[in-house]
Amino acid sequence: MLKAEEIVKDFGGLRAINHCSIEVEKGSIVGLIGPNGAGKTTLFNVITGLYKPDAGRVIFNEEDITGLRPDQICQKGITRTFQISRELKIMTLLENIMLGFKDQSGEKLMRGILNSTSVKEQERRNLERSFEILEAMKLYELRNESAAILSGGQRKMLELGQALATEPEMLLLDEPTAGATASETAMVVTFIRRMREEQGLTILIVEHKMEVIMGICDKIIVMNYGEKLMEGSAEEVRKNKQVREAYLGRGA
Amino acid sequence: MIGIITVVAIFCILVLALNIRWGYCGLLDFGVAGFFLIGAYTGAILISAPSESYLFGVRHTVGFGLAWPIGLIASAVTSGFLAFLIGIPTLRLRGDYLAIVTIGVAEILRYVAINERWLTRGVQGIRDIKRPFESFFPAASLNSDIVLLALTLSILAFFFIIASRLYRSPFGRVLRAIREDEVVASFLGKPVSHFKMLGFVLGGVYMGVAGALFSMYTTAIEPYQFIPTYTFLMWACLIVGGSGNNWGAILGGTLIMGLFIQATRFLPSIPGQHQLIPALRYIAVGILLIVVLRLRPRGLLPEKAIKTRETQ
Repeated sequence: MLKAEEIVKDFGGLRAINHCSIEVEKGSIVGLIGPNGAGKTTLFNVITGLYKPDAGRVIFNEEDITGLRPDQICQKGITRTFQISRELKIMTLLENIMLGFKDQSGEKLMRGILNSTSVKEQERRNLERSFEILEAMKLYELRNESAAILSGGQRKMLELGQALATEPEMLLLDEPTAGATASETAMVVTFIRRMREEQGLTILIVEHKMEVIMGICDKIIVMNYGEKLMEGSAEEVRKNKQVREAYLGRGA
Repeated sequence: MIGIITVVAIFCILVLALNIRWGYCGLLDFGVAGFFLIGAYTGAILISAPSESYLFGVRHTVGFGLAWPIGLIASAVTSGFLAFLIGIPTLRLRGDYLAIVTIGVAEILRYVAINERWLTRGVQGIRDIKRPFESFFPAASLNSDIVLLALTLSILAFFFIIASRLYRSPFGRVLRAIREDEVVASFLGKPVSHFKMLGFVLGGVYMGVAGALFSMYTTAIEPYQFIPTYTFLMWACLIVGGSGNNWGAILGGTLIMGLFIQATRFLPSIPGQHQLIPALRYIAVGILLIVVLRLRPRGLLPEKAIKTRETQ
């Protein structure tokens, strides 16, 4: 479903990604791991259009999406979340979710002013779906609070909800449990599983918590120094000597 | 008195426009005076009666003597188009670049108005700008003032309603999201530059109309009326009133432009010190700004998160 082929990304003299290729199959949950600075987030940024790669191609659903803008890539069906959650603080939770829906006719200037019945009708439908999402996130009670009051884990959930509102085919989650407590982490994990099972979403996930990665991924890709070190099942990764060296250094 | 309300209402339109740009969308616009100028000159040139003068021995004419609605619409178009032109190269850049470009363009326009005498009559300014319905209500009469006040207030009300509807609309939601974090907005599929451009141009349209109204109000304009001071006064109004809140914009505009700048004209002048009161005005605005920022950093009427109605 998603293929990144031979991606190269340089920052000045530093090669952050070096001929890295990954593939994510439809309906699978793929984990992307590696030590700090391995290039995981950079790869996310290349796939989602924040950076243009210096070489290589990104293919989504057989279509070349290399170099498109982030909003165009979102329209193609890929939505991402951020390592450090970036909720919109002055806006309410509800507004944060409502923002996510695609093709809102009220986002046109004139239609926004006129606020015709068709716009109102669409808003009402989106509002109902937002309620469902917020309920699933256990954030319904807080729907009219501003997003600034949320805890770390709640912010992660809100971001997930916002991403779901865009009705993506594929989700790229950058450390979805960073800053979450143990129980919040469990909730996020359950939720990720449910999204795949109920909505058939394809998910690529960067995570440092190994129990999260090992528990939910069909396939794990290990990166180091901007290159793909290996890929395989959780068991294969755990046994791999190179992976252990990448994380812990070479044994004396 | 009627005159003061009119001019304050005109400035309130400017503050509303700045609120759309900065308060909704986070666009750092330091060129309010420039958009105001382009609107005022467009209006003035189209509405004023043709007047002849000699420039380097060549006779030329400024003024078309057209009807006032044409002047209003044309000033909205030119100012909006100016915003579009400035927006093309700058809206993709970080906010501070927009600030530099807008203040630069505003000053360039003022010097164009000073120097291009064939078009603007330079520092002499354009005179005899006609007011609405001048054949029924003679110039410099009370009725003419009332007519202009009514026109200005209705346009202000109309613009206020549009701005408020936009704020609550999905369109306004995207603008506010861009203000909070444009990266998030773009990853949620919103073409950020497109939305910024619409917000920027809409602000320009407002400012242009305010300019045309201003030219009708003063009936004579000259470049000196469009110094950057006015840009920063509009910022003071918005910050004191509460950026992001349209009522705050009106409150700030009324308070600063009405009470501090206009009403103080009626204070008796101090013998031998007639420069004192004009200087004190700006000092007073500065003190007000400091006090408000200290005690109510988000303005007298801060922006509130919208509670979505759930009546359905």
